[in-house]
Amino acid sequence: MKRKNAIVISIGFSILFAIFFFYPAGMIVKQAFEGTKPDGSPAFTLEFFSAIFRNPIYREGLWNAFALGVSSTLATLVIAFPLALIGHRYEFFGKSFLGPLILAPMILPPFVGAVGVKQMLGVNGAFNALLVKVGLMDSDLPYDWLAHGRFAGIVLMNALHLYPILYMNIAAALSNLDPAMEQAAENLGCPPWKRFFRITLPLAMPGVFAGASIVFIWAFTELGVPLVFDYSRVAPVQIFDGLKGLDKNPLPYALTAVLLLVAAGVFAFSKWVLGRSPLGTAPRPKGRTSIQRLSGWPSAACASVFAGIFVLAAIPHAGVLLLSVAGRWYGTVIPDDLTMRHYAEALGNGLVVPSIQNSLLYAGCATLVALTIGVSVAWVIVRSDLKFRNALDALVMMPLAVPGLVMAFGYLSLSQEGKAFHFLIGTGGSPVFLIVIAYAIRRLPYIIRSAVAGLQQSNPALEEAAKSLGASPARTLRRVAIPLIGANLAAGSILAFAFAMLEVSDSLILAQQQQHFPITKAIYTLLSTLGNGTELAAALGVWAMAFLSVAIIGAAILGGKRGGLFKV
Amino acid sequence: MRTRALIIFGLLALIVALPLAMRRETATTDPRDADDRLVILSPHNETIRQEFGEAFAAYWKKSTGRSIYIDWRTPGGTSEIRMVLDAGFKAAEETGRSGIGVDVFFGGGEPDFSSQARKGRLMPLRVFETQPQLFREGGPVPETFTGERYFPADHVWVATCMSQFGICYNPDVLTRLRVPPPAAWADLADPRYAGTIALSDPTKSGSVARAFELLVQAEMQRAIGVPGADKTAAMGAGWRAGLQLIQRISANARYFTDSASKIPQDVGQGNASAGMCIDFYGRSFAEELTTNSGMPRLVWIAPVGGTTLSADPVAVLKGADHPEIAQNFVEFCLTPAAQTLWFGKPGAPGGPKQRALHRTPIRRDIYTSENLANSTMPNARPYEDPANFTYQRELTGSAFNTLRQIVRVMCIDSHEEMKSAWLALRDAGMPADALAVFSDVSSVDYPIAGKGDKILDAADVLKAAERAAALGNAFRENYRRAEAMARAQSPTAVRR
Repeated sequence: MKRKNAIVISIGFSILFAIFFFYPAGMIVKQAFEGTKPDGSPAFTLEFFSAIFRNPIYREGLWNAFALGVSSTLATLVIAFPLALIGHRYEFFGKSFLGPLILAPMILPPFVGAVGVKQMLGVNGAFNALLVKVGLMDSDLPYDWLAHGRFAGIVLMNALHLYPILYMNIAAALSNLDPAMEQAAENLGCPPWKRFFRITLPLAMPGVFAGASIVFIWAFTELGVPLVFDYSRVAPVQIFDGLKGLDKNPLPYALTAVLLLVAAGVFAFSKWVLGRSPLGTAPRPKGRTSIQRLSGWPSAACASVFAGIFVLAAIPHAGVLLLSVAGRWYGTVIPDDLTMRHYAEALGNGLVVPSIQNSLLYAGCATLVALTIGVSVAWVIVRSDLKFRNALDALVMMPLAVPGLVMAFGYLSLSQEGKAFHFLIGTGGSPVFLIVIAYAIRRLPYIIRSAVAGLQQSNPALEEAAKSLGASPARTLRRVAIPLIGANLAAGSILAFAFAMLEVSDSLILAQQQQHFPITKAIYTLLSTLGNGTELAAALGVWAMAFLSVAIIGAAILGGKRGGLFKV
Repeated sequence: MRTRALIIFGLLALIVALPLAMRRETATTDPRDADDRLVILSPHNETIRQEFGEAFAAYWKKSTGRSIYIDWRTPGGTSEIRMVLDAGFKAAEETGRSGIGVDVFFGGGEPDFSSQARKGRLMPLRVFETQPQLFREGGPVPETFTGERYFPADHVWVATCMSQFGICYNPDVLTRLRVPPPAAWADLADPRYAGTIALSDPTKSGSVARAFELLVQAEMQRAIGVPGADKTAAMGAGWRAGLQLIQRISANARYFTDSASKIPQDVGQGNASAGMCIDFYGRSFAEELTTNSGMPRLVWIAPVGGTTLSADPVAVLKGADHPEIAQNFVEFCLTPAAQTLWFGKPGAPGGPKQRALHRTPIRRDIYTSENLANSTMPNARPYEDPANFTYQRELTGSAFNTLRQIVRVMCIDSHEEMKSAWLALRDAGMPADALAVFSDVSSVDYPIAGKGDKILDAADVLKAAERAAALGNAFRENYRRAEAMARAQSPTAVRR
């Protein structure tokens, strides 16, 4: 890659990133550095940071967040790696059906997801009702699953929610492996376990790192799951509580800055330790497939691993689905009164159709923007020799670690009339550009991580060959580089699109007028209907799940085939 | 491949077509067809927005012949609204504009509106000039009731209905826990409730903070009311008793939430036994949720002595783009037609079209036997209820901020240590010495904090944070010590 191009891309991106990420986030977080002099004038201070570290509650909160991040990442890896490996190596009963199914956790709609979990696992929930029914529990002494062992519960729920991120990245990495490597090891008498640790894992490391870094930052800053378990001594919940508090207190902003630094630091450190594949890049496999066809018990065992993970991961979804058809659901395994009236009421609401159009527009454009920017940045990170490319790589992960409310209010205050981002507000107050940018910035890490992993695995010699044969850089990118990392880009784009469709904070705060609401805000609006608000929100949530499932599975089938992401 | 693509796109088209086919058009859906427009910022729920939106559109059409589009701005609850107003007015100030493009602020609590009024963001309301008879002495809208203000002296906001914090409980769970139904806040302090009470978070909402203040004040009023009591000593003792009551209820709590609907939801579902709940959510969930045998799953009560009827106001924002329509909206909210919407039966004359709102109108003259017969609460006579308690601002009003901070450091921030100590105390049979350590609130006694703690309330946020941290450390130390003492006294008690 020409150095000049790399510099141009980096500078262009840095400017964009500074304007649309650091400026709005900084607008809010800067309050953490604003002290007052004795005469009342503002002054720079680090006192709020020391106040955080002096308060044992915040120290414990940070530590708990970190511990949750690390444990959740390990737990996610334990789920995702075997799945990806089994999927990569074997053909088994029901694979074409089970493969896309295990991506289910990605499509859980917001707000009602938590209610779904409680309907299933609450004291009076479906699971306890089942245990009572089969005689394993005394109905007078139900077990409170969400109140005991909360740390482990959060780790488990995080892992069951986040494993698709890691799974897709590892699957993409494995699909880029040259089976000849493993076959050579096998021929030389290497036993399967040794082969895994010496060949497969190191070669797949870029994918593991790509997924794990996102999962860590996600779990480290996760708000919703700790709230379901009423676990409040963890930094993201402390920030959320502080932001919404009546007092004008800069401590939550200081805590946000600490979270950002820790996230970037952990990322940079783990990249330094794990991020590089010691075996370097490998040429693309040449169509030789090493898939082993299983039958009998081994086939059934593989299928049950996939099915088991799906069933566990889909508990909240089942809760939402049952809630959407529940007339009355109280202390029984399934609702004792089933109805479709919530669907008629929810889907018939005048809000819904425009919100679908809006969400598709916002999330679709945001994914395209993130894809365009992400691929160029990933190229600089992997292929250039610029000194600051590793710093750039750590920077682009930061949008994942900023609390949604902080970013949303940063954008909101800058988009007021007369302010810097007001030009992004269209006629009639349309927030399209603002929301697309907000969504895209926060989804950038998914694309960049996937693209970086793909580029690390693909052989630059192929691009160099194209160039030496006279292809322009654009043509090289289009005809050689991008097709080689197609699986990775498909994985990243699917994640970016799905998470943009389900985005909460920017959607609630920036889409102000009804005709601009995305689906998530429509769900939020229905939720506040008196009486059956939860059921209405669940019904629209189920609609969103159905749409996203078909869209994701469709994308996997149509686009993934070529990239080899899903062997369906 | 082509067949697959066709199937996938066909399925997607089908899914998208479903809501298209089921779509219902409502009166105020499309802004382009309307002659006028009104922008309302509101934490009110969708049901209220829909009913008031349609009713006002009909009123506007009838009185002016013009159609109107109501642009509801709903960024979330009162916290988000406060942040949106702050962001908007800050930008407006910096760029020399007077308004933020929003006309009306509709719904919330008196503390929310008073704080906006203090910042000079509200306009005087015209209704006080056009309808002075509503606000005369002994008229339909009193200036204060139960000690709560229904409109301020400068007339920049006015209550349209009232709300009351109460207790909601699940009778099934109470039976399982073997506790009698609660009748007063103090009943929720029973340790048999441990881990099952759902509480609202006073740090995020002024109305909830007021509810906690009332809890303390009720204890103070009780102590002062004892014949022959020395007032100063009684105030101190009552303050302490109030804080200790908050401690015990919090020790039973599962969580503190800022979502008003989460509590009745969890209680109705049996995930919590009882909780703090605003009246209309309580009534609405009580009506909606029944067991298989038709029994109520949720009961809402107004606790005896300790809750007031607080204002739920409306105001016109400074620099409104449509001030004339905004003033009209406020006037509309006080018409009998709008007032009966609050508590009418759906479909009944004067009632809402689709769903009951379960709220108590502000106008005293609306509670006629005819209106009550058409309402969802035929027994509601708030202005005649002898059980009402009267808030005395002079007792605790200046400690409003401090009290909220105390609850935060004493109960919310220290919740883990508190719960653990409480269970140990319960298992040891509540030994008096350990309980005394647990309940030690001397660091925030009435002489120190009762008129507002100077450091906690000070403008210097660092000092306030420091003091809060120190108080929190002291409370946690007490809880740990009480737990150790309780455990030492009951070697058989197992940690739960």
